[in-house]
Parts: sequence; C-alpha cells; structure tokens
Amino acid sequence: MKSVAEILKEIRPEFDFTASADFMADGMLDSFDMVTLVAALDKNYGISIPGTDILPENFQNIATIETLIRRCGAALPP
Amino acid sequence: MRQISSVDQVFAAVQQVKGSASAFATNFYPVRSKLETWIGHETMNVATAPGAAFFFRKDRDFEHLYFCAADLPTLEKELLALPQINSARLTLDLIGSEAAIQPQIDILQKAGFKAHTRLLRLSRAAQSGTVAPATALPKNFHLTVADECDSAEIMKMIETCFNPLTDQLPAMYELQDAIGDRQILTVKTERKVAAALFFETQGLTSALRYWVVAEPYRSQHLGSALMQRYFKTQDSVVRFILWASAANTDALAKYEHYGYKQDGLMDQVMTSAAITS
Repeated sequence: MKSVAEILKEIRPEFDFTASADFMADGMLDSFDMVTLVAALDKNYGISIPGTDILPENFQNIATIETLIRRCGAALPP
Repeated sequence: MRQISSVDQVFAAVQQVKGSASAFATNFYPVRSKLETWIGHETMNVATAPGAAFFFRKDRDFEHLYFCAADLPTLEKELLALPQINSARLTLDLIGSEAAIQPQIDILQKAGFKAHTRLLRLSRAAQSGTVAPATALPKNFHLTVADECDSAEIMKMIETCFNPLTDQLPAMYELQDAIGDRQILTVKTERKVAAALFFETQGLTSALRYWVVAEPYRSQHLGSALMQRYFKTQDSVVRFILWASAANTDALAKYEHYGYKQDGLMDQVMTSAAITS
C-alpha cells in the first residue's frame, strides 16, 4: 500500500507536496486534479470516497487527505 | 429559476443537495473568485429541485449548465423536468476519465444533449520540454504585455479563432482583468496586435488559455516567440497546463513540441438539442 505522499507524487511528480500546507492556494492541485486523486486513493486503499467529501478542504494537504481516508475506513501505512 | 446574488447562495444550494446525497454527482467545480465575478456581472441563475440543483451561466448567445445531484437517477429525473431543457441553448462539460463520465453522458443524451467536442488536458513540467532560444521577431514587430487599448482587438482574435461553445471564451471584463494582471502577452506591429498569448497563473501552476496568431501574420514565428517569452516570464511556475481539442491533431503536435503531454484528464463537451451547429 502506498502512502498519500507517494500517490500524490505519482499524479503530479513535479511538485514537492510535503512542503505545502495548502495545495490549492499553492497551485499544486486544482479541482479537476481532485477527480484523478480520488480515483487513485479509492483504488489504493480499497475505499469509496463519497462525492459529498470531495471538497477542497479535504484535499488541502497530506494531513487532511489522511484524515479523509481514515474517515472512509482505511488504515494508513505507518 | 432565480438569479444568484451571492456566493453563499451557490454553496447553500450545493450543500442542500449534498445533505441528501447517496452518490453525489456533479460537473460543478467552482472557484470562489470566478464565481464572485460571474455573480457580480449578473450572469448566474439557479433552479433547484429535491435532490438536485442546476446552475446556468450566461455566455454570449447560450448558457453553461452545471449540475449537482444526490445521485444519477435524481439527475435524470430532474434534468428531464427542467422547463428549458428542450428550448434553451446549453452547453455542459463533463470532466474525468472516460469510464467515470460515461453514466452521466448516457443520462444527458436521454435529455437530448449531444456529444460536441472532447478536450484533453495537457501538462508540462517546468524543467521538461525543449524550448529553443528566443526567436528573433521580424523587423517592425515587438513583443510586449497587452495594454487596455488592445482589449477589443484581442477579443476579436479570440472570437475568430476559438469556439465559444467549447473554449470558455472570456467576457470582456475577464479579458480586461487579465490585461490588468499582466497575463496577456502580445506581438504588435504598427500598433496592431498580430499575436497574443493569454494565461492564468495560480501559485505554482499556470494555465495557457489562448494562443493565437492573426491570419495575415502566420508562419513568421510570432507564436513561437510568445511561447518562449511565456515560459521565461513564469519562472516560478512548476506546472504548465492547457486544454486542447482531441480532434485538433495539429495543435496537439505543437503543444507536444513545447513539452506538453496528455495527463489523462478529459472534458466531454455536450450541447443541448437547441444547439444545432
């Protein structure tokens, strides 16, 4: 199982996501990228992120994405 | 249907749908600053129904349609119940992977929509791609940031060369704002705009919106000079993106020359039955 940082790196290898606290404001992800990211997270963690949770605030940074994944019932790698 | 007067009204309508959603479906990805501008210019209307909200944005002689629905059956039911569905000139964008948007395409086709154009998103990492050294412009041409007085000429070029139904053409106020933000580069000759490049930079990402050379000035490397200057001036940008028609193989080849590559995201543009061309 990959970490959130690894998945983000696969989707947008040009960015250092660990250095940002707000992916949207920093222009590292846009609302369209969230569509791609949700599909990758669903597949990697065996979850189905509800459409109601596809909100910018849930994809602001690695910590908020991890919180979302846990809320969807998946365990994260250490 | 009622006119929207605040951004909060938009988010409240979306939230109401989300509250009852089992499989929320949408093609609406609003950016607050854009919403504020559209609402300020009185171009946004909303129609709500149990489990669905439809947003209409006026643009020239048609409207963009955005939807939020609790699930796909509700989307189908309420879309078919919209009074203007057969008579209004509407366009709609479905963004995602082909497999993800196919169920929505099926529903829209039942409501009389047709597949119009497929757009592909292309991305370019700042350090990738080969950009040749700056091209020398022909005599009497110079490259400069657009000025307020160029707005009508640039708008005419954009409207001549792009499709309003698919290319999200700017309103005049958006174009003027872009000029104010120094986000339009031009090549001019004898005070006429021969070529223009319109971009939007947000943080580390820059979107190329329109890149156009007026017909009499083509094959003189003006477009190439603009692209090179664009990359050079956006030196803090890490990712460059753009949308291009899947059918426009010439344009795709040009963008690939500058290091852009398809990144897997597509936009299926659909048009309502009232749009016949």
